[in-house]
Amino acid sequence: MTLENMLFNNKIVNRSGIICFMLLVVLPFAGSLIYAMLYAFGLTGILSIGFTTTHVSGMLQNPEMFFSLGYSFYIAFCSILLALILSLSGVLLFKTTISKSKWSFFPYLPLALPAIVTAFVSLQVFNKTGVLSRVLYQINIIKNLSQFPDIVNDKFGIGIILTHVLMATPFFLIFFSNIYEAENVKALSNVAKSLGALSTKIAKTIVIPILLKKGLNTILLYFIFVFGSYEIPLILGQQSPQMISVLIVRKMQRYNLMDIPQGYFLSIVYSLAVILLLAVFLKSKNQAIS
Amino acid sequence: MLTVFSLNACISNSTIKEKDPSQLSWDEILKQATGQTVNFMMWQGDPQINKYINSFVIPAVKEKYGIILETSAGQGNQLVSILMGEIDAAKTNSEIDMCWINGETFYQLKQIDALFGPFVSQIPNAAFINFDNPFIKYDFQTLVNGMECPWGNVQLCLIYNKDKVPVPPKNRLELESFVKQNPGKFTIPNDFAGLTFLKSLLIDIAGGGASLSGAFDEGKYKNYSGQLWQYINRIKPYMWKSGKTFPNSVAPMHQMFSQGELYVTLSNNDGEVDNKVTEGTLPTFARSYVLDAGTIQNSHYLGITKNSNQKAAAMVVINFLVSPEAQIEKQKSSVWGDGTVLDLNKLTAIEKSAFDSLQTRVYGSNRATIQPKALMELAPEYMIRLNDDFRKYVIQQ
Repeated sequence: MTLENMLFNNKIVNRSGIICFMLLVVLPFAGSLIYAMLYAFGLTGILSIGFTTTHVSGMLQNPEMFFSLGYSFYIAFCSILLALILSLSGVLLFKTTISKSKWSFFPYLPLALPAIVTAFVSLQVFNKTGVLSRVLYQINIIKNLSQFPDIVNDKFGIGIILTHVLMATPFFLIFFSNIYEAENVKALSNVAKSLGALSTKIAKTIVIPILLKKGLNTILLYFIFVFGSYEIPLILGQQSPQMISVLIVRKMQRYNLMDIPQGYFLSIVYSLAVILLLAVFLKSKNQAIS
Repeated sequence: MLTVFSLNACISNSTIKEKDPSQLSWDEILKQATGQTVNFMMWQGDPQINKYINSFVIPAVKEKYGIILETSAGQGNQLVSILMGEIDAAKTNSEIDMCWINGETFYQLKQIDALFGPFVSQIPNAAFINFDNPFIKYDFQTLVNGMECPWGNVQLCLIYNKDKVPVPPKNRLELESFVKQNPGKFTIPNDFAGLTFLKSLLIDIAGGGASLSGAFDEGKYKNYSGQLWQYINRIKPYMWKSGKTFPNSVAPMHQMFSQGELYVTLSNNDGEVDNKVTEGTLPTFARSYVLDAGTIQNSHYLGITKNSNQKAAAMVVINFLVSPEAQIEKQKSSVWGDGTVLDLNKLTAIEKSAFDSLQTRVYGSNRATIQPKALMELAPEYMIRLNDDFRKYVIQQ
């Protein structure tokens, strides 16, 4: 019996693992949710005046919360969709050579940059007087710098999406490249090809479905990561609407201390939104399996 | 994020109490302070200010009093959040001993009863502070009452590009024309400096001078803020990015100003333009001035946290920071360019001449020129309401 089998088949080890998970993950999270709930309803906190629904109803009547959730979803959806299109195209184009070539470390470089640094780099490159704008001006594509389009701090969150795509694409490129190799997709494709299938059909019916199905968990987790991102939308976003994390911190840390319970309520809403996403995902996954 | 905020409120508790310094003589305070470590929470967004603290203040208090001064980054709302968490968790030995605070933070810290004091009268160098000056004596219309020690004094100013704007706008009407004639070149940061600018405009609309002095007046606020939002919304389409968004602080504004994207930026410190040009952060075309109707002048202060166990040492550090020696160094344009809170007439001839010999400003208006145009800070509720309503009636429109 291997060590792996011994560990996974041992009831004590399994129970200990569950207990550790409960103590280190579930308990602090549940405790935080309860504390946030108490704060939002005025039952705790230094300025608490007793049970009240004022803060919660105030937020529910404020469209800002719903805009913020919708905007966060939109940013996450567009970022992941574009990153998937680019990374899948990259894998189809280069197959496994990405992870095997001597230049394979290049895709890893953006992963080494913290989000806040990437955001500042985007700001320097894409703002109206940034690097790109100056280059276009020098080669006479634009007549003055103000003609450069609004890419950062813009209405549609292009700067935020672009930066997330820049970060996510190399990650997915490497990730899918590894799946491509591990699942022996090349061999399957060759079989299909020998039976007369066209490259586009192979991509549509074999390569992409396999890569997406195997990578679904990671895609969802990355979606949640973008949904709750803070530094990038803080630097590259607009003042309104703001992504949910930016809105929460604004409520928690502004001039009016009476806004803090609203910040806690938003934190609960955000947590529930993430739990809901996971639940929908797990349900659809289970249905697909059965 | 939720867990972090919650854990912040559940910090562990341990108590090592020091003697209450309010009951001690200055000699006893000095004795108690020796060898202590003081944590100073301060805004660390300016390398020049950090350099002043790290290269001048920290070695000096170590050498003179044997105090180890450590700094941590944080300001306003972050400071308040940490202290609220500590109080919520009944923590009796705060991680923060002293802090750099402005009026809005003073107001919040009083709300949560997080400040130690009054302590200023016990500090020997407080005798040199100009408490006759209402801009020092009052913080956001509230008497400081020894609960915070004045540290520096600044006035809001507009910084303009003299090459592009030979004659800067001097009043609201001229500002409106300027913004309309130079689309995309003006904006207001959605931060403390931006709100201070909006307060200055609000006072002007209300009739100027002391028209909004005293406690918050709902009627006056509604009337004059309505006119303010009408004014801002009139120029909004001609502002940076057509007024669809606003920078979240003055830092990106300074950068855009330096790159020519904006023709005007703001500074909450009338000495900043000289400091920043000397440093190379702002270009030499930068010049500063204040509107004819005036701009807000305010002081920044140093406070000691109620649950600090190093209050005596914090008092000694604060005493040093308001000493003529430290204030002269701080006022140098090459160091920080921060205005002094001392009454020069109370100083020795040598100290006074040291202040007088400080280089006059090259890029910014001298304090003597703009002092008659200084407006008092308003009650804190004006800032809270302006912050909310700027978002409601301007940003979200």
